[in-house]
Amino acid sequence: MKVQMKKQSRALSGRHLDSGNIAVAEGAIYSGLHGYYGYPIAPSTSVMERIVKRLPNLEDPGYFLQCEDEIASITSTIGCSWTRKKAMTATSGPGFSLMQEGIGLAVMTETPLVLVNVMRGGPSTGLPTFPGQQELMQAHFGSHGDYIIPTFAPWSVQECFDLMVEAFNTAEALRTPVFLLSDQVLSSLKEKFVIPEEGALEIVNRAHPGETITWKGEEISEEYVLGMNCFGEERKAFSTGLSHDESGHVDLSAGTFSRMTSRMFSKIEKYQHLLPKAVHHRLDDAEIVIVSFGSTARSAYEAVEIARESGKKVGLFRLRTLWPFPTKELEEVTKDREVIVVEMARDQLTWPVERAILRRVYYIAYPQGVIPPPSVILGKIAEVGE
Amino acid sequence: MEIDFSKLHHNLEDKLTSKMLPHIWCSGCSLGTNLQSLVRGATLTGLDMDKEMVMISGIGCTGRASGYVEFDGFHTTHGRAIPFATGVKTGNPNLEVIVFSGDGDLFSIGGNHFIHAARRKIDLTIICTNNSVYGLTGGQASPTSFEKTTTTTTVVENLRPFNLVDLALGAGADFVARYTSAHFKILPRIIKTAIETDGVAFIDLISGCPAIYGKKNGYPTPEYMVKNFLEASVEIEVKEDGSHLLPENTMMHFDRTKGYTKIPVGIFRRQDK
Repeated sequence: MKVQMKKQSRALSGRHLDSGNIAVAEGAIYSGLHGYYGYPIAPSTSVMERIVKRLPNLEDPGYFLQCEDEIASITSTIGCSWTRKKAMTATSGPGFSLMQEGIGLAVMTETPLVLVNVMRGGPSTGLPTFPGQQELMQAHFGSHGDYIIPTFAPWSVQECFDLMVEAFNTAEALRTPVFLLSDQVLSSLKEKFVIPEEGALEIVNRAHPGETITWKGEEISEEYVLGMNCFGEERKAFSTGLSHDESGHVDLSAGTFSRMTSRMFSKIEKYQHLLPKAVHHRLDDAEIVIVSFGSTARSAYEAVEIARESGKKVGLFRLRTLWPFPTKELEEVTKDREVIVVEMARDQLTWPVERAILRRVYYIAYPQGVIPPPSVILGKIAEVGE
Repeated sequence: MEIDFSKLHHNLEDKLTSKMLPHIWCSGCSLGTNLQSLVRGATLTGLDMDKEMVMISGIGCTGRASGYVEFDGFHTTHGRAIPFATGVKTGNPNLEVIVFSGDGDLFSIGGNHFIHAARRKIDLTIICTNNSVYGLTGGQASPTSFEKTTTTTTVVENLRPFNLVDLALGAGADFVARYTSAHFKILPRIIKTAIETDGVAFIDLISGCPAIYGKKNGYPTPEYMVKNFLEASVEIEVKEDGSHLLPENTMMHFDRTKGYTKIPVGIFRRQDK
């Protein structure tokens, strides 16, 4: 006997106790995901396993495909997005490296999509089932050519859901690929999270040519973000990875190329203030500022609490948008204060922080497959306080 | 002689993107006739090119084709036309999706994508302009360059080429045909059938590159090439025991001094998934 599945709703609103990867999947479905294209790789796999259970059974069903490799996954994601459907893929370390080619194509053709990278330790096969934060730089500089992709980092299961919705809205509003950098700790960590009612959160859909959309109460100007003409619609839709004009057709002239690439940068910079803001914790009277993100920031938070108990004036600046880097804000927050960068990588977060504030900082580089424990951070706080 | 292109007319010009013309292809290249056969075939289906069809191409001389026609289209990265097309078809199943690319793009860098597309049977039409050479980069060997062939990268030897018909049959494509660019009279009907096939349709479209490959490998002029294609073509006889599908009966023969000596052509398989 064939069992008739009851059609599921997109928003499983209510309280849940589950992992970060499940929250990522639910955030995508809440945002209106249609196409998921992926390849199994630890620790991202449970995102696709959740999606494949949910997408085909929705009232407005989506499509799931397990691809032959990560190159196909990202390219099919781009293809699906060109039919005006929301599309995503998720991967980890080696898969993210394989996807760099497609990421460049998505940037060049201004394709809205979301790519989740559940970070593990590298290089190469590295530490498949342990966490890392070593793709911060790859997220900005991994594919050839100049570009900037909005990149968000959650620190909790709740934020895995929330920032996934932000990621889809950013992708649609600004017609750009968006990265969510999660990590192995968050992927399997189970904690409480809440999914709001359907319609409670703003969901943005990309503009048609000539149409003006609003996002967070702000109008998105077509001077920066071109309306997207998709396949099967009124006018010829075309694009190419080659330099092209506004209609998508090849134009290799220096004028067109520089106009196109400048607009691609300026559209992200223009609406940077609408991206998820960094979280300030006990920074008002702090003498030492810890800068961190992702699951590492959980340990830093704990260290701040312990240090405060013994009267040390320490605060935490937790990044949620990694790229574009919040240079100005960090400059203001760290003025006349000591800075400690805490990361599960060697000198990746330190680099943009030092560049932003134009001086050397203290740092804990901890690319060891575990988050640096609070004791290590407290040791550094003591060292800096002397 | 200076040509005033604004005064020239073409009987398919409402289907061509005039602002992108003239095209980049050399005179004598098979791509002009191949693209014309595609447009005629697509027209025969009665579908709206702009609203119901999408043409995806990869990189190379053939890759540029999607920019020249009024299909909705996309010019992807090297080798990725098929995965892009898979995304389009699964994003909007009402669209007829055509992949139009070359032998290097589809079967060297993109070979893995082809066999998986054929296995999956997501409805795609894949047309390969197979000229056995990388033309745009100046004449290097492709995965279908013949043994004892001269290219800039096969100075010492060339290893065994793919028999694309055999490969497509083995991978599970639902419609498999081979014709040459000189069969432009029947190609539109073949292409129409391929588009209408519900599943993966593959056409191995034997083509020539007289400017770079032909002059070193036995067909120095376009005129000789067209004659060579027609003379070497042998229509397959469909046998009940399926022996016409054996690799030795689908394989092409090539002589570096004369061009093609045998091209088995016809529809090798036709089934709806």
